[in-house]
Amino acid sequence: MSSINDTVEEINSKIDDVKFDLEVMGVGPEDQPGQVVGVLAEFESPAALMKAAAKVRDGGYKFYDCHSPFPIHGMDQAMGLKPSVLGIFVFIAGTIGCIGGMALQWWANAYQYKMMISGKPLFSFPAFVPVTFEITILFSALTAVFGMFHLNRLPRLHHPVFYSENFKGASDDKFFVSIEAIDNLFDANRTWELLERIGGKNIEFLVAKK
Amino acid sequence: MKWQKDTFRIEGAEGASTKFYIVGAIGLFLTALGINANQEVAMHSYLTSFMFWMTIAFGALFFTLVHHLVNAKWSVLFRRIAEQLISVFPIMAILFLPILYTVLSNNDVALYEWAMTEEKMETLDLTKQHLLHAKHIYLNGLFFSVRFLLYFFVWSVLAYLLRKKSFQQDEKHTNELFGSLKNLSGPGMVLFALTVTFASFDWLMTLNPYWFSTIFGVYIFAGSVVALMTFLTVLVTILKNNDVLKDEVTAEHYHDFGKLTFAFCVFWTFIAFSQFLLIWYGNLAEETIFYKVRWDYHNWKGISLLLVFGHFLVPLILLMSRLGKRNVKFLTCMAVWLLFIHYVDLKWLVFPTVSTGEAIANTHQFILKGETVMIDMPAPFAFHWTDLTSLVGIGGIFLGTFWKNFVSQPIVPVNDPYLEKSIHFHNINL
Repeated sequence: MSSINDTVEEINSKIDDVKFDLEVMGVGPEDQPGQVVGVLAEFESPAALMKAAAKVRDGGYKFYDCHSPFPIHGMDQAMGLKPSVLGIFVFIAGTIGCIGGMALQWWANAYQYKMMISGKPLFSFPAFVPVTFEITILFSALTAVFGMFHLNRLPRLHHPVFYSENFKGASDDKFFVSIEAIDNLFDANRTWELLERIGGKNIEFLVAKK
Repeated sequence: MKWQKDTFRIEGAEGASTKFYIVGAIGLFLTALGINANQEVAMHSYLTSFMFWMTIAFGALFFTLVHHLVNAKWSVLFRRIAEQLISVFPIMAILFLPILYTVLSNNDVALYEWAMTEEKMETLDLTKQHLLHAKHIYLNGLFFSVRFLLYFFVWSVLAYLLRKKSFQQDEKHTNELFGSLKNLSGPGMVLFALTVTFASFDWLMTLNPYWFSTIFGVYIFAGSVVALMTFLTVLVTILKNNDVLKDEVTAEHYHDFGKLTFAFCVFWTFIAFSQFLLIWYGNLAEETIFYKVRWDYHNWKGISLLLVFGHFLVPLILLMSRLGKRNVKFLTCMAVWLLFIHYVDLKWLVFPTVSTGEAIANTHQFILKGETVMIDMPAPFAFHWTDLTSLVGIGGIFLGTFWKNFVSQPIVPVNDPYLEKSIHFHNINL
């Protein structure tokens, strides 16, 4: 009996996971009008933002972000962002490109349709190096770009912070921390209090509009 | 060695330069004995060692110029090391004199075949004679000496100006001084590119006067930057182990050493392969000879493969990851390995022109423009004791001069506005 329950629970949790992923990607069900989807707090300076980020990180939040008009050195550490896995993707893709590029030329030139060019051997390694090199670069570069898109959940046309009027200053002279409601630790009151405690100004709930 | 943290000076280490000089003098003396015994091998050793230390100085000049040109900030801590390395040019000019002497005394056995007298040239076969005559306008003792003076004049003047302004900055930093260093570096870089290219042609490429490659200067340049970055890595590690710059230099700086070493190892391969691919594809006898003697005879194939692996694949794989570049011990070991490989690379360029003195029956023939050309069989790649004595001899003088200047000044540009930024430099956390 218990095994059936377990299975049902497992399926339910998987459905939740999928919903959750879709929501994160911004293609999930539309936010209901009036629903609280996050909290936004303004900070006075890059330094204040950095300190705030470290405290939100220590609070255990995962779905929060810092917004500033320009990149801030040391923000990665303050937010506790781990080194990206993108490099590993690129390495694997580059290796595939390298082997694949060489294999393709071998297959085409020395195996499937044997063709001698300017008296060189059918499999002439030096002549194949430039193409192999280029295909390695091509695979690496495309993986780097699209891998970055995937890891950043791009393209994404909507984000809860856009419900705020005040947020328009983020591309000008204002510094914000936003915490999203999809975070497991999110609790309207306690999250608000946390942002107040760490020095946030103009705190507001991000409320979904039509 | 006593480290003065507040003034950035090393005290009580002047004696080391005298020791370097003494060791260098002994090395040079032993090399002179070697030249007396077997001038061809010993002079080839001498040229290899000379180029080994010269390429480090080339790299240092490039490092200083590019530092000013791109307004670099991370490398301010190491700018003075490079600036003191380029102070060796005048003394290196003196160490070049034995090589110049072989040319001026028409000694075609020791190093350069083209240095032979007119009478001897008449005895060569016609194709060789024709090529040497055609190149005589460039490859003759007088013009060679003029170019030698010009190169060292350009390098010494550049080094003198860069160093003088940098020391002035130590006393008082002004924006004019800072700007003038950048203004000097632009034309300086152009002069550097031209002189290094032609110096490589003159000193290394004409060892075989029938062969030519326009990319050869870039090949030497790429090796030079690898030599400088690895030399810098080893030197900074030694300094750090003696408490010098212990707190200032961090894994972040080693990370950048690693990145540049990696980049220029790959760049070296790119240039070496570009040279090889065109010659291999064109398949012209007068060009392929360069690779033929380095592949088909004796143990040269092994050395060529050692370069492919040691100068390219090993650093490519081991230095690709962030971990390898940030581990001080590992990166220093890699640097020592690459310095060794750089020496092998130079020896690979120089030594195949040592002839075996074997009979004509053992020489190999090439058809060039319809005529048969006799090519001497290269001697096998082997260690000769003059390799060591000349490396130590020139190295002793080189390091002695460097060290004497190095400890006489603060070892970083103390008034550079970006010094603080360089000390607290961080790589982005990718």
